Amino acid sequence: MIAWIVTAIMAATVCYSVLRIPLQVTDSLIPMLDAQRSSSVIGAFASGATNAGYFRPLRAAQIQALFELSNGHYFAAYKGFQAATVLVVFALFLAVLEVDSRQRAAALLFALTVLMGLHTFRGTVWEAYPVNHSLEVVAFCLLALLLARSKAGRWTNAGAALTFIAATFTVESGLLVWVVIAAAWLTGARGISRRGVIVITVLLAVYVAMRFGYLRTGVPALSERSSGFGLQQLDPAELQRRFGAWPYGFYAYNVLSSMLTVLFSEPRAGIWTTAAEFARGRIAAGTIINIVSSTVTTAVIGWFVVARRDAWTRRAFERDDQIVFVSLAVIVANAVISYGYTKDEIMGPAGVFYALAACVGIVFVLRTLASPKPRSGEGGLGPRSRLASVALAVFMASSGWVVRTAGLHYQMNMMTFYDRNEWVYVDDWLVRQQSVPTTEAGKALVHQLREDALERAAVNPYLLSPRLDQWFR
Amino acid sequence: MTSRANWILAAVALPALGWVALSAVWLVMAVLGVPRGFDSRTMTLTEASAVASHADAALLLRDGADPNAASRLRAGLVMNRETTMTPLEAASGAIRTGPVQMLLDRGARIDEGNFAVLWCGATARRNSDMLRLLESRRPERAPIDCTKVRALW
Repeated sequence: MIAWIVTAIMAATVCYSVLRIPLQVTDSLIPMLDAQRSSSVIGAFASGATNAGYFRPLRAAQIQALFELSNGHYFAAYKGFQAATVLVVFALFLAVLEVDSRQRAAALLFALTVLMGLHTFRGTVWEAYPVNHSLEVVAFCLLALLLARSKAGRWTNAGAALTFIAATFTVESGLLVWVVIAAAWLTGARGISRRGVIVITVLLAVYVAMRFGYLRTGVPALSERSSGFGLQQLDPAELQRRFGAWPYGFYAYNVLSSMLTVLFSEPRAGIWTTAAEFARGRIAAGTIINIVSSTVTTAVIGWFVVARRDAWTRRAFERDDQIVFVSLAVIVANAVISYGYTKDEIMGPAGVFYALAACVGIVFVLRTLASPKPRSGEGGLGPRSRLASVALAVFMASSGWVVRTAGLHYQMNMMTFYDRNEWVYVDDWLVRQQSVPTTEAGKALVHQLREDALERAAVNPYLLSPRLDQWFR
Repeated sequence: MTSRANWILAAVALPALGWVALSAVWLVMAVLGVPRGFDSRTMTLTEASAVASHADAALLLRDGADPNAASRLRAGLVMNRETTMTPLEAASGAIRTGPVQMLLDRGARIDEGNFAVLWCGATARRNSDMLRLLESRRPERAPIDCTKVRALW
């Protein structure tokens, strides 16, 4: 019960910050104008299936459905849906961890701050496109893990297949649902039966064939967006110039960067911020906090993996082994499918699973350090000084994650500030995008959204303190 | 549970528990509407210009704020103490690019009366955006001696 209350409070703060951010101009306005022009949800679904470079029919259908259901209350419809998704993600997160002891409750507290504090969560939760499909994929992945570890039942296989279809039809990273299901099955989770896993694997093959064979939507091109590399951001033209002839080295860099950013908070969006800040003369306190808290947490997870390696080799997976194994699989797979470019938010699912693994790692540390004698295969800490060192490191990491959690809200306030400012110049932006609405209804929609954004209450981050951004990176 | 187990448990949980307690207080305060001090809608046009809040500047101008009138600038935004400035002066003294063009479009004046003050303020702050804009609107080409100009702070 306490775990649910704590989780609800944390989720409520995220919802609060989400609901303060206006619907953004970029990524939201044009889809909404499209929805206004579209005749039906089915039409939007078909259109979303055939966009060049993307296969996201369910995303388009959701945007359309919410637009039609909103009855003119667009902010309430889209942001209400986003807040509901936040609540679902937190509830699933808690359900997966099965908090049934004081140690797990303490570890849950730690894990919730990891979940919210990790920089990949920021991008996952704050943006609305106007439906936040990144957050939906996180929910689908957690649901898949919950189903895989549940007691096998008649509807579990069907539920897992539906989850996979919904996720892959929403956005490409929905493929991670298959990774979750397959990895969980490898660890002996039999909530989804062998037949169920085979069916979902066939669905995966059908998806790949449909996307690349029948619909020929292809993959996003190198020249589509900017990406971080080394110490700087490279624009599409520069990316094309440097890597156009042989992009595989760049892709490998992206995969590695994406994995490292989850595990160590460096690099950020492909850019090595510590080195870049050092070159500018000063490393921000927030950067140091991020790296230290992530490194200690990754070390804790690594300690668990090393301690359990023999059991894993024998394929004797327990409840917590399953969570960590699946989490590592998701981190790797998420990085691999993000090969095209690096961005913190596309590693959102990996970040959430990292928080799950962190919870398990902390439970392991608590049990290991609390037991007077070393448990078999887990090693043990005898001298008090070593015990104190580990406790201090964990306390530092825990405190660091709290600062980062506060940073999530600070950054979301920054987002509110920037998004409100964007609405001031929305007309100029629409001209640049060659998307100026030509109908009276379209102009009225833009006007309504603009007024709604400007009138909305917002905490100005510079009124809090202009120096806080040094702490919250 | 042993005492050493409790210590470790506390090391893990206390920081996060503190945050949860703080969050609960924050949510209650948000429901009650406290504190209002950070709400951007409490800003004057001068403050909105200082912190580059284009949205609030647009709202204030829409509601009839005078772009040439001096108004409150709370402590910590440009200066350490509270003072009074015009929106353009605040924009010059700030390090962020403010809604200067919007102010000019709505009637803010740059003339011989205030050019030197704005120029010297922007120079002191190394506000290059403002300096570029001022250069394009310089009323006379005579050199400016900032030691003889009213300082913004």
